[in-house]
Amino acid sequence: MKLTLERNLPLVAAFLIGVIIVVAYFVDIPQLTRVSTELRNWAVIITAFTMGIGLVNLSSVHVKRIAAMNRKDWYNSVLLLAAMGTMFVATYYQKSFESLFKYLFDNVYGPLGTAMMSLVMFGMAVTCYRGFKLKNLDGFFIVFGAVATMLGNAPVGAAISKYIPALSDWVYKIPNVAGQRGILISSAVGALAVGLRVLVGLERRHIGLD
Amino acid sequence: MTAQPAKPQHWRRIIHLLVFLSMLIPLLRPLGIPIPIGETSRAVYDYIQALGPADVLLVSSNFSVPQAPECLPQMTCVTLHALSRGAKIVVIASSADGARYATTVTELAVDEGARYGTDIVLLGFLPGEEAGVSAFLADVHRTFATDQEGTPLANLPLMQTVHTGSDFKGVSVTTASANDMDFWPRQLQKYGAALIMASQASSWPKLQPYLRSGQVTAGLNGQRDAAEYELLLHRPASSVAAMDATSGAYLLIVALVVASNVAYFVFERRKGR
Repeated sequence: MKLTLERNLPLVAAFLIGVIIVVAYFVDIPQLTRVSTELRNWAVIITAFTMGIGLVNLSSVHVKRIAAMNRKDWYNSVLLLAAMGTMFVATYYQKSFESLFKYLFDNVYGPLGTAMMSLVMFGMAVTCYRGFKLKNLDGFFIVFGAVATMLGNAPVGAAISKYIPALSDWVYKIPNVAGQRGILISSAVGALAVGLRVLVGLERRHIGLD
Repeated sequence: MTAQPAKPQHWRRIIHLLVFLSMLIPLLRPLGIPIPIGETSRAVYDYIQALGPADVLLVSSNFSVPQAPECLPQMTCVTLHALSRGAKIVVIASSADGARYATTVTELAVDEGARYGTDIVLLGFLPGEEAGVSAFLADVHRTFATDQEGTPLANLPLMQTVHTGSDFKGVSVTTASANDMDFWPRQLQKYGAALIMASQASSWPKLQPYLRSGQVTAGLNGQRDAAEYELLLHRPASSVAAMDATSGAYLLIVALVVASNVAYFVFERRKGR
């Protein structure tokens, strides 16, 4: 019985909830719409819980690393837990620690995150130098698209020539849209197929089966 | 005697130094390259300019800390412009970091004279991505019982007129996530509200199909359009200040591409023969 409940209950729940939400989207029945809205609010609550689960999991992993002390970088785990704990207290008790939270977010977390992102620029410059070579026709299209869009995205492009912003716009609106539409349509069809498989119970990996 | 290329082990450091200088010099000594106003920022400006006191705009903050230099000016410009037209604003955040920036924009609006509760309301973080947005647009008061500070929505005058997605004239989403560009048009289409999407430059190609089909009314492309919007509002700020550095960096990369191709055709192909 337990094996059946473990196996069948999630599948039945997924089917019922999925059908209610899909039918409520297309058919305007007030009672069904109310149930569908309530189910979606439950999804919001469950997603919020997953953040707590992530916090607990991260803490567990790093506490074990510190306790084991057999890794030479165990002190990084201490730093991580200290930073996480401080930020958690400052955010959770924001009303009491408002200035601390603002200081940590605006003057520590913000600049650190932005600095990490800015490193991408250096790597990108090296990649462009090494990778953008006119070896063949594909290389030509890559270089053409990259140069046109880069110069179009900065005022210097318009300063060099009035045709550069127009060229950049053309690259975005014509070849890019053609490619993006192909990707969008194919991924939408794929998502529809996966969704149908989950609804009818053919796709069971998400509940740990198959 | 033919010239030899630089030794391979030093060229990365040279490129890194050049990139650093190409951005540092324009920041210290601005070049004053003119910033022309493009059609994309003009389209968003015209839409917000047409809003009035009877209109409610939903502003959603969906970006994280690394994208803040591009996305925060976009969201700030749209919010302050809409408030200057008399429109009312409801602010939410779909990302954890975005909640802090939603608070920043709300505080800035209040500092500039907006009345909290009447002109602008900050509801806070909305978890669940598409499911959360779907639930929110279906029933705002069911998803958010209080605002971010814990004030019941029944006590906020603005929220008496906002119950579902149909009560929003427009929605402005500032995002760095390609996922948002798929689900916002999907969820909003049954409510009839216009959708403005302000995105990071790297996500701009993903937004194009939705702009071309009209599912997204108008969009802002990264820091360039944020700078143009600041100029349209006569409030030059961080985006305008960063444009010369952006121009310098992009010009350097184009020069590097040209240099690498010259080196390829002059040296490597000759070696291959």
